[in-house]
This record gives sequence, structure tokens and C-alpha cells, in this order.
Amino acid sequence: MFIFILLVLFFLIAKLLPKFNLFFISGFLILVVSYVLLSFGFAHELARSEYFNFDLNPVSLVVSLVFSLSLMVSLISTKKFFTPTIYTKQLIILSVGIILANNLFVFFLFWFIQRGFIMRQLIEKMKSKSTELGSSFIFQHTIGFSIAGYFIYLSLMKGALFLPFNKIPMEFFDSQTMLTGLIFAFFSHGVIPFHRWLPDFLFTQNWLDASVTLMTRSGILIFVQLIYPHSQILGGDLKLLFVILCLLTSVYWSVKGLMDVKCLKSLSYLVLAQVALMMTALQGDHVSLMGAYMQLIAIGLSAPAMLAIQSFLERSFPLTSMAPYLGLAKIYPKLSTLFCLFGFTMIGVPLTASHVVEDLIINGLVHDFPVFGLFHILASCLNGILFFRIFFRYFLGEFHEARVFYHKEDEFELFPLLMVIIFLILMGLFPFAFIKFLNPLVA
Amino acid sequence: MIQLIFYTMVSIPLLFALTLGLIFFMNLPLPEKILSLVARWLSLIVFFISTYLLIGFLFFNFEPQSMSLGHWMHLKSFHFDIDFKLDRLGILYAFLTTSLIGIILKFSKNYLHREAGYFRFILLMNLLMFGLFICSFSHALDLFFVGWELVGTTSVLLISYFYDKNQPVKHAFKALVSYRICDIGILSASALAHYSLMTTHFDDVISQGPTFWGHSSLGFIIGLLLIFASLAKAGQFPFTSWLPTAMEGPTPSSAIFYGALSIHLGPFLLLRFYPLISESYFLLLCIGSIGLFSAIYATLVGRTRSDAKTMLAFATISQVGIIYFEISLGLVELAEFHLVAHAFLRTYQFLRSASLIQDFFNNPTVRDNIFVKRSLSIEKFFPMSFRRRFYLHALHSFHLDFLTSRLLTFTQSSVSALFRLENLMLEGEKFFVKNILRIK
Repeated sequence: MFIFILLVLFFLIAKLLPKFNLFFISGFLILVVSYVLLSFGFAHELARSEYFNFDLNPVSLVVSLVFSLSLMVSLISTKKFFTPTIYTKQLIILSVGIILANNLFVFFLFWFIQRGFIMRQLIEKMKSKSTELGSSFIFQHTIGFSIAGYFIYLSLMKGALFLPFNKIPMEFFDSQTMLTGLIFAFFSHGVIPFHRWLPDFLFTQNWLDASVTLMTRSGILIFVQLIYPHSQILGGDLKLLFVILCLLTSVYWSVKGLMDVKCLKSLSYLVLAQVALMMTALQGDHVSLMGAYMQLIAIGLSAPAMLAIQSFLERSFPLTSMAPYLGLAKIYPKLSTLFCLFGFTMIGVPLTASHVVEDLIINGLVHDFPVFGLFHILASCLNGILFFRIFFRYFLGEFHEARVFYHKEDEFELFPLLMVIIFLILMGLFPFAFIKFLNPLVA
Repeated sequence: MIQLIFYTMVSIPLLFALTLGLIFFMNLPLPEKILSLVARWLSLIVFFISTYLLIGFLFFNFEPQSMSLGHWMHLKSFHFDIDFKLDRLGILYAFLTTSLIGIILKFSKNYLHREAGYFRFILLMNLLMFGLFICSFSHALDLFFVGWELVGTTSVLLISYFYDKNQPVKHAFKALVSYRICDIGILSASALAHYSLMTTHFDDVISQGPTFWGHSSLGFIIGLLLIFASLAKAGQFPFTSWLPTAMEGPTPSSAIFYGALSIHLGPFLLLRFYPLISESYFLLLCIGSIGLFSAIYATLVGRTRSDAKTMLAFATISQVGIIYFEISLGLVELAEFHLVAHAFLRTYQFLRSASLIQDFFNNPTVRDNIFVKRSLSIEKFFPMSFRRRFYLHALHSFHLDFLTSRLLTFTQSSVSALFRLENLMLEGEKFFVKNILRIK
């Protein structure tokens, strides 16, 4: 019922306010409704039938909050340049479905439909533009669909497909299921060797569609709700292998970003590298899991904000290569400051959320994997260098007066970004409050 | 009472910086005159507080005090506490900070008058001061890192103060890379201390005794990591090359960072951990050799440079190298004295360097003699051909930059080769999509 009301409201708003307000208001709506529901104890069993089971549990609440806020910060870019298509709306609805799914059937149903839509759009683009960009996405998703299909088959055989997540019996979690589930989670997050579909996806979609799809963190959801509580079944060596793969992925994206001169590509690589570090954290103990949750919030908010700023600038200032220094801080002082601050909330600068996150993740990881925990520090150091490279090349340096720019920064549009950055700084200044809030969820 | 004074001193720069940040985003008008006045008055208040505490420690036998603001983070066995310790070394560095930043703020009132970035300069100076206070008084490695990183970040942002020119930005990035590499040391040391001792609290770590630090491999690794962490900030070998190029920022920031406060954080870290490091002769030997080598290297290279600020930069590296050497010999009090004296002298020299050349040229009595004669009698013992060749190598910084760039090029080409291998996989995927799935 709740989902139905939410969807009706969403479509009404979409109809009445077809432009940026859609994102602002729908995001805000999800936020408020989720909070009210949780406060009044309606936190469970939002909609339930034999097959369709939705739930607003603490995990999905946090993810939906991040998702809503990430839509809100897109205001700066969406107001002027972006009219959401039906495709974007479909992706948003499907993402909400993935977040609120409470059994494997609903989760995979929404996931398959979402990826199916993306694949269809990619194929159309490939045909119309005669481009080969998208091949990796299609190829790797063929493998991904097989993994997901096998996982569904296993859960159907063991009678767990339609059961709510918290009622799935222990017998379901044997090593075969766990391994398949984990591989699927890694595939969803583009961890090596399933990493090649991500650039195809990011560079063929507009950033908002990409952000909406990736923000659901479907890999995280399936991992946290299903696999993590029983991860001891996997054994230490396998977990170590996954840590190594995640670290490799992060380093891979960082290096790729350092060697690229395209603004959007470098920034996307930075985000991917950070996400890979979050997956690393999920292999550690309770402390690093808390770090992963906080990282989810920090990246979930700062990455869309940075991408939105980048998208705004790319349309205001028609240069996509950072090979010469662009010096945009001269024209956009506040945007550049915000971009810098959002970067700080991602790379571990003290007094921001990311410092807390890094401390938790590193200490949690070192506890379980002393040597590879230290490699995490190396990977995050590389990410820091990559961020500064992007920031310096994009915003600093000589600005050629002859260059044309079309749009000035707007105080009103900056407001959501400012609110979010204050939130992330508060998270860094008073982490104990956030840890207290998230602790029951992690526990 | 002392606690209240202490917390006031530490919080003033942070609150002022946060206020300035809000003023910036709210577009509130703040005339330069008022900004400068408030900044100087606040720095004066902080200076008086630090002087009071220093006098108390030096002449009235104030006892070292531990203060705690409780857990900043606490989760199962992991805890990050905000613990401070007010002791002689901490207050000495804090006094150095407040006095020099006060001087710099006074100097920059005229020097940066009507500069577009004056507001930013004041904001970053206050963040720097806060970072240095955290470093001075932190009682655990975790908290020390907070200050350490703040100093590094503000330092990089001040090198790129003239952000509308390419060169300062390039040099800021170079400094940043050095900083980030060495930050691995301090972060790893902190993580390993948590892992092995469940704490990074200085007292708890020291109480583990010489057995852990002198003979266990983990203690030894933590010591090595701390030494490594100190190298970039102190501009010691092999991280020497960023310092002379970092002089692109305005003179006051060069003075405060590379003459006085930031560069001495390296030796300060070693002095803080001296009771631990001194348990291992090998670690002391490491510190001594790095210091001595850097001092000789910087002296030789500095003598081939022709501009005042670069010469001062190499002279600074050289002196900090000597401080390292003193620490390795166990002359801790001499090193502390050397550190303070050197910081004051270098600040004066950096601030003076901007107007020095002009003064020389305008002064008829020294007009023909502005080139300082730089030769040592020892040089005469070597044949001229050797001296020339040696000079040439020194002029090229003994090819350190060249070797670094070669290493980077090698890494880049290796990585590119790996990416080319990956392109083969892409071709396979394209083949699959085109010929098997028949999508064209």
C-alpha cells in the first residue's frame, strides 16, 4: 500500500512538475515519509503478498535516505540543462524497488528489469551511432545474468526465493550459495574481473541516470542483508582473496584516472575507486563494516554532488579535457570551493566524514588482515592524489579570458550542495552521534 | 582554570576559520581592514595565552596535564579519544606557532594589502594554527594525524595561492604527492599500534617498555614508519625537491610553512616519539644518516642556486637535517633549542628576502658588492676540473629530479603496457557482441 501511494505521488509530481522539482520533491518526500514511518514503528512489512514483499528496515532506510539526498544535490545540474526522460523515471522507480525489496524474488525482478532497460538503451545507441561502446557492458552482463540466474535457481531449489530476508533458514547459506551471492555482489560493484562494464555504462548514460542506478548499491544491499551475517562460512582465505581483488580494483581505477585527461572520466574513476574501497571494508570486522556504512553515506552524497557540479560546468563551459589547466575557480569561486570540500569528504581529510570513515575501515581491516589492511592506506592515498589532480587541473591554473562561458553560478542552486556539505562536515566533527545511530543497524 | 584557558586557545582559530567559511558562502561583506584587525587581535589573544603557559612551565613549575574530551569514536575494541597533553614540548611548539603567526599576520597586513586572496590567506592561516595546536598537544597518534593532515592540506592550498598561474599549481601538486606518500607512514603506524597495542595513546605506548620497541619487529616497523612519515614535511632526503619549488606562494606563507612551522613538524614528530625511537639503535642510525645526508646534499645544492628564496629553502633543509642528526645523538634539548632558534631566524630571513634585493640595489655603498662571495677554503684542495664537475652535478641537484622523473616514466609505461593487454580483452568482448550476440 505504501509503495502504491508513493508511486502515485511520484507520478503526480512528475506530471505536475516535470523539471528539476521532481528530483527535489520526490527525494524530500521519500526522506520524510521514511522518517515518519520509522518514528511511528511502521518500519516493517510495507507491502506483502505471497511473492511481492517490500520492507523498510534500517538498511533500506539508510540507503533510501542517501538515495533521496543524492537526487536533491543534483538540483544544480538538472535545473538548467536536464529534462528527465521517461527512462530516468523508470530507473528511479526500479531503484526504489531494489532498495525496498524484502525477498530475493522482488530484488532480482527489479534488478533484471533495470539492467534490461539499460541494455536495451545501450543496444539502440550502438545501432544508431554505430559505436562499439557498450560491448563490455553487454558481454559482462551476459555473465552477470547467468550468475544471478544461478543464484535464483539455488534459492528456488532451497525454497528461499520468496521468503523475507530475515526468515531465510540457515541451511540456505552453504558455501555454494554464499560464493555465488558474493560473486554477484562483486559483479554489481564492478570489482575485478567484472570491472569493465562500468566505464561503458558511465560514459554512455548521462550522469544522472548513471548516478540513480549506481546509488542503489544493489551489491551492498544483497551483501549486507544476506551474506555478511553468515560470511564465516566462506573461510579466511576466500575473504582475503576478495580483499585483494577489491584493493586491486581501487588501485586500477585510481591509476586509470591519473592517466586520463577527460574531466568526466577521471572523476568517474575516482568515484569507482572509492566504491571499491567500500567493498574492501565489507570484508573486515564490525568496525570496518561501520566504516563501510558511513562510506556509503559519504560517497553516496559527495559523488553525485561532484558529478552534478562537473556536469553543470561541462555545459557552462564547453571544454572536456583537462590537458591544459582550465582555471575555472576564477569564474566559479563558490562551486570550486564546494567541489574541493566534497572531494575532501571523500578522500580522508580530517574534520570531514571521510576521515572518520578511513579510520574505521583501516583499523577494522588491519585487525583481520594486517598486511592487506595497510595496502588499503596506499589505495586511499592514490585516490587522494587523483582527487587533487582533478581539482587542480579543473579549477586552478591560468584561465584564458578569450574562453566563453555561458552560465554563472546561482546562489539558490548552490543551497542543496551547501546543506549536504554541512551535513558531511558535521558527520566528521561529531562521528560518535552517527556511530550511535548506525550501530544497531551494523549489529 | 588552565584547562579552560587551554581549550580557549585551541578553539579560537577553528571557530574563526569556520566563521570565515560561512561568511564566504553567505556572501556577507567583510572589509579587509576589519578582517585584518580581527585576525590580528585573535592571534594576539592566543599568543598571550601560549606565553602565559610557557612562562608557567619554564619558571613556575607547572605540572604536565592530561585532558580528555572523551571518545570521539568508540566501537567495540576500537576507540579514538580526544586526549590532549599540556607539556613542555607541546607548549614550546604552540608558543612558536602563535608568536610566528602573529608576526606573519602583522607583516601580511601591508604585504597582501588589496590582494584578492587575502580572505583565503587568513582562513588558511587559522586552519593551520588549529592544525599545529592539535599536533602540539595531541596525546595519541590518531589525533596527531588530524593536525598533521590539516597542516599538509593548508600548506598545499597556500602554495597554490596564486591559483590563476600554472606554475604554482604544478608545484603545489608536487608537494601534495610527497605529503600523501609520507602520510602512509603515519597512518600505517597508527593502524599497527591499534592492532598490536589496542591503543595509540602516547603514555600507553611508552609504557610497553623497551622490549616491545627495541626488539620486536612490529615496534621496529612502527618506528620506521614514523621516521618515513616525518621526511616529506621536513623536506629530508629523498623528499627534498618539493621544498624549493614550493616558494611560489606569497612570502608570508613561505616563511611560515617552509621556514618555520610546517617544516619543523618532522623533527617535532621524532621528538615526541623520542622515548620510543631511542630504544632502537638502528632507528637512531637511520635518523642520523638521513639527517646528515640531507644536510650535506642541501648545502652543496644550495650553493649553486642564485635566487634568495631557493637558497634559503636549501639552507632550511640543511639545518633541519642537522636537527635530525642531533636527535639521533640523543641531544634532545639541543635539538629543541635549535628548532626554535632556527624557526625564528628563518622566518626573519624569508620575510626579509622579498625586499632585500631592492635594498641592495638602492644602497650606493653595497651596490657593486651584492654578489656574496661563496667559497670555502676546503674547496681549494680539490683540482679545478673536479670542482667544476662537482658544481655541475650539484647544479642538477645530483640528478635526483631526473631519476624521479625516469622512475615515473617507467611506471607509466609499464602501466600503459598492462592497459594495452587489457585492450585485447576488449577486442574479445566486441567480437562476442558482434558475432555471437549479433548486435551490430
